[in-house]
Amino acid sequence: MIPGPVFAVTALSLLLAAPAYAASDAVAVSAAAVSAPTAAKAPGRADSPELSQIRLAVETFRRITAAARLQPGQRSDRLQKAGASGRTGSWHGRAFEYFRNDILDAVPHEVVQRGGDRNLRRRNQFGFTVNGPVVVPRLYNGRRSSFFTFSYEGTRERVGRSYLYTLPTAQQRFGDFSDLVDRAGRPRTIFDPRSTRRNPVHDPSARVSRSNPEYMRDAFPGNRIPGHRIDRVARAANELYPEPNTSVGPFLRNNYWSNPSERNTPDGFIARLDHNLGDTQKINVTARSSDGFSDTPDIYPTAGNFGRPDRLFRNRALTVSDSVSLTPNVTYNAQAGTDIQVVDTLSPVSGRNLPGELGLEGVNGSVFPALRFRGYVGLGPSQRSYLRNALAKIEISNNVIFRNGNHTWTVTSDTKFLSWSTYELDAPSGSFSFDDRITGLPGINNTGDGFATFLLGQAGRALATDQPQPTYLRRRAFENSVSDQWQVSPNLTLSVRVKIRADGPRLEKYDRQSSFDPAVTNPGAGSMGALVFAGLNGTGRAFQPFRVRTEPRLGLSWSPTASRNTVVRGTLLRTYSTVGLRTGPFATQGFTGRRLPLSRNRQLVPAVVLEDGFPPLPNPLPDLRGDFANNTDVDMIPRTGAQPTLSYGLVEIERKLPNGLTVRARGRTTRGRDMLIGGQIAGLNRAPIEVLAYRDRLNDESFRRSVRPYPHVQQIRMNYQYPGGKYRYDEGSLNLQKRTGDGLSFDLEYSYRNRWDDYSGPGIQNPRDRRTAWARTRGTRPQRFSLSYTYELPFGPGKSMLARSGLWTRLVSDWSVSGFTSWYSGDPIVLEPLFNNTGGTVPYLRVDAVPGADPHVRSPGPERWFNAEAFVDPPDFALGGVPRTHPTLRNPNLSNHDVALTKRVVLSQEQSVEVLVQSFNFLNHGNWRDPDTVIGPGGARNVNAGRIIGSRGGRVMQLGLRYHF
Amino acid sequence: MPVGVLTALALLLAPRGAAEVFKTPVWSDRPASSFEVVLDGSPATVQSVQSADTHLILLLVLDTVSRADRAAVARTAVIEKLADLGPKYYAGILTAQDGLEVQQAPIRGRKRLRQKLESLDVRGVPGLLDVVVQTSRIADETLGAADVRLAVLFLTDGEIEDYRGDYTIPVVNPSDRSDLSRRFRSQLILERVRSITDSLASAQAPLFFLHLARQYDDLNEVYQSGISEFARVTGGRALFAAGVQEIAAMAEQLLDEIAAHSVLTIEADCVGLHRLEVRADGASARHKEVVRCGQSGS
Repeated sequence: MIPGPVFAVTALSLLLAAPAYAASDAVAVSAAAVSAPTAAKAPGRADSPELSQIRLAVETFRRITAAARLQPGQRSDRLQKAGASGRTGSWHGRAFEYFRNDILDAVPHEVVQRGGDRNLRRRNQFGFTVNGPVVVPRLYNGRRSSFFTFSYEGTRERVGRSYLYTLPTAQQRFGDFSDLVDRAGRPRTIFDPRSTRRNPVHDPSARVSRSNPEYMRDAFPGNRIPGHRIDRVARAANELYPEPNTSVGPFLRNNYWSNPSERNTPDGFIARLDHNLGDTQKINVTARSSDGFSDTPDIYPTAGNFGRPDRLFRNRALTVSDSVSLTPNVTYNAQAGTDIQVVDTLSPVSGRNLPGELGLEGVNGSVFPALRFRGYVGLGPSQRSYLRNALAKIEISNNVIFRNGNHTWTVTSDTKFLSWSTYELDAPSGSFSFDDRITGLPGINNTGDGFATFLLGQAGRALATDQPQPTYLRRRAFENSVSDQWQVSPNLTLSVRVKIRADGPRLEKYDRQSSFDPAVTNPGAGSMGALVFAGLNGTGRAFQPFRVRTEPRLGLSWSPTASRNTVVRGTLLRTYSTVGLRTGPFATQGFTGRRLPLSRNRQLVPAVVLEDGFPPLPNPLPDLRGDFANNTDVDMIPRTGAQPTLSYGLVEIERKLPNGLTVRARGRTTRGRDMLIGGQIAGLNRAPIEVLAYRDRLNDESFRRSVRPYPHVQQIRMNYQYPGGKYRYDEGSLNLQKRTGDGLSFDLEYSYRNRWDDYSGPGIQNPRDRRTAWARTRGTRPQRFSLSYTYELPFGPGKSMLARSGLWTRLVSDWSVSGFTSWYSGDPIVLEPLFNNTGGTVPYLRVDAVPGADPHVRSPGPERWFNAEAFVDPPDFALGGVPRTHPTLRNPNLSNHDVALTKRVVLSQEQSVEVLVQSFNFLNHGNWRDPDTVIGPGGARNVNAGRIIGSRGGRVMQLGLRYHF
Repeated sequence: MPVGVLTALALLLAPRGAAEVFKTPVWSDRPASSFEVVLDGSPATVQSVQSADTHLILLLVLDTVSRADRAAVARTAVIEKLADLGPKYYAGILTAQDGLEVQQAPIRGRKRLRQKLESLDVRGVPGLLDVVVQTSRIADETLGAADVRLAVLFLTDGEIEDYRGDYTIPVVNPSDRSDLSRRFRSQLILERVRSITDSLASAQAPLFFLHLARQYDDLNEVYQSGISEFARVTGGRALFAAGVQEIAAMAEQLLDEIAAHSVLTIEADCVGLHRLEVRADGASARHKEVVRCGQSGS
């Protein structure tokens, strides 16, 4: 027996002598093989010395592999520990914990700028993964045939979010608008709609103006609304509106800053089982499950919260796949999977009847109504916030791969079934918009106020929906393809694929769907255009055709030089996108109802007065009449067979360089047509732009309907299913990559891209002239630079520094630094007019350029990012001339730098611990927000136009510990 | 207590290493007698040299799971090149999927090798990360047993997401929107690569890799860099074919390198890892950068 101190000192000296893995390596030498070298030196038969040595080596190989049970027909039936055993015979995995706390973080820029000193963050993310052979003692031994993987992960998090909004001032909330100013800082007057009267001296031959108003109104004395005039419902809702708490400005704007926290508590697992049936067949079963609850931030600490409601998430997925090698040259794969995703914001809703508490009558919902005031942030979550959507997907795929000479053929067949069970409440408690027209001078910009209109309860637009049941949408799709990869010569390979795809139409399980049909006579109006219903009066179950398309693909790979260090690749491809299912009650009118009361003139009278309640539907649901949707927005599923079509081309040249470097240049282009757009952009019921000549007459609903193609309906909604857009995308990139060697690997890329289209962004002015809408795509950042890298610090055994073994070396070895750095140039600026006086005929209006004025500034900064004086609102009843997105002005650049430091501590050959220190945005760089792009007319410019309010972002630290076994 | 102190002193004052013998691959066209070896600045003795014209055993490890066409091209190229190399070249065949398995012990018969190679299915899940250390150990023990040259060539088409082990960190909870643990998704692969690289530092037989289907996504780039690292630390080389037309030439290149290597048997007083420098006629020869002595090998 070794005395204790002796043992301790011996162990210490051994520890200093060599790192831990070296010791484990010594153990790892196979017991079966240790005698081989000496035993094998004995001479065998009378071979030449060289031949006897090779025989000796082969014999040693046989002995080692037999001892490790690696010879054909042997199957490992025990957990082997010798050096010749592999890693597949035992269980492996990891356990981990990631930790974040705001003590470690920098205070975000947006919080510092509002005077805050912390942003709550408490986060623990934990879990484990284990994988290995399936072994049930005395029942089943699955080593080398059955394997499992099981991963669990959970998170417990509370994190702060930051918001900056504009609210009415404290005195405005009680009707005192004496402090009301416009965007230029000049006093703005509110008028009493009750005093509306025709101007007896109005000259109809001259334009409406302050000197020639068509209607006259009296200003509220002192710009104050008397208390008794405030609407009863508005007064109750107003109680739930918070007061301003900051003064960022300009003037009284950006006066509410909120820094609430949200909570997130997901738990989930992934379980996978592989089983080999003999040597040629493999079956895989994968199951996924995740449950989460997101307690979203209360931007207002009241029932009138503007933020989206709390959400429950559930995800379940099961996939079964089978792979069979029929012969060495023929493989068959089959897979069937189902995936269910549930998002639910209805279950967490409290039992309170909030419309009832406000005194709002005529609506069916119990949640807070959506109240929106022009110029201010509103009350209540936005439309379609309350939902319970379940997506179920079933996918079955088969493919056979076989090789014949220089050809490799692949035949595939895929079938997909998609089901959305969607109960997405559009506006269950009503959605109300209040603009400045009711409290302004009719036809005169920069008068009135949206919040003042709200206090009077007079909504210019109001919507309430009646949805007695969910909608069960279904769709099927099939794809079959044949492809061949042909090795024409050692330097040239061609690949060809032909895919035939068939996309089924949208169906509803109970045929509860309808669509506006422009070719059907409306029974109520007597003109063309009426609702038709699935499966009724000769209409089929579907409104869309079954689309069958052929998708060709051609590719080549060519080495132009004998050394084959250079490779040229090219691809040409045409694909078609699916006209997908979208959630919500779209195109179910008649089974669901949209109540959209109309104002006869939105300058003069409201659509709804809050305290009067919402008018009911004329008939109970279902109401399957062709004129059910008359005078409201109608939903239309386009019957066209067109679908989004993409033509794609790519050329790439890659060259290998010395020292593990590879350089790659790539160019690619895509052309898209029949891209899916919404009803607002399709504009099927928009009056021709020439009607702007009628000027103020367009404010009259009866006149406006007379100039619409389908007078008896308002908008024709398409739910982004109308195939009518075009786009073009071009990209060039240069990439330099270094594989590891001396501990450093990196991937450096610069790319330049341009995307143009005629439909993206907030909208287009004239749907009938789409060419004028062709512009750079909003949100596309043309230049990108990215660098990812990993560097293993050069300390420790085998490295260039501190190479000797020892305790100090163990401390400084096995450290590595990884990082991502990215930089993006700004995306195109979209300029917007402050006022839109087009009688409701041009929902989206562009601005005009001021002749001779340069929109650029010499040194762009937050005080002046661009020259707003170079733009101006267009005149009343006229279109703007500046392109939809500005051709040269860009929003600020964006950059980010993440770094991770990792220390690996080796416990044994198969066990290690990693200590992780990760820093996101480690330079604590604040990216500028986008500038204010609302311009204003010549006499009332938005003084904030071209300015940037603050920056955002901040360093976030994460500590992690991972144990690998 | 005195016993412990004396033992400790003895261990600390004792020479760090006894004379160790190990082998290492070298590429040089200079005569065998001209090799000079330096370990961390100290000269070491070259006991013997197996030059490039001596017998060689190639252990061919197949880890082909999905690309039957590419695997067939690679197998054909290897067989044809072996035929060119002549009778001094022996080859054995192993498979890596679901654990290492010997399909054919090293032999010289090309016809039998061809038949065996053509009978092997492209199937299963990749096993390279699981068997590379084990293969290296077998190769080292075989190399240590006789005065031969030996190299290992992996033919693989596996992608990192196809492994049974969880290296890609798939998202478990889609509702966890502020998850940053997957920002550095490659770290699990890096950890595994480091673990294997540590183990391979003591390897004496060079490992060569031909990846038949190079991938360009971030995770596979890290995985492929790891394979390059395995080759580098063992003195071998890794090549990655993006297109099928590159495979035959790459296989030929690797086998030419394998054929051209010499094996030095070195004797040195050392323990642990050391930086190796080999010169032939005063000029630097290509060799593995780090060797470990005293803990493994012959």
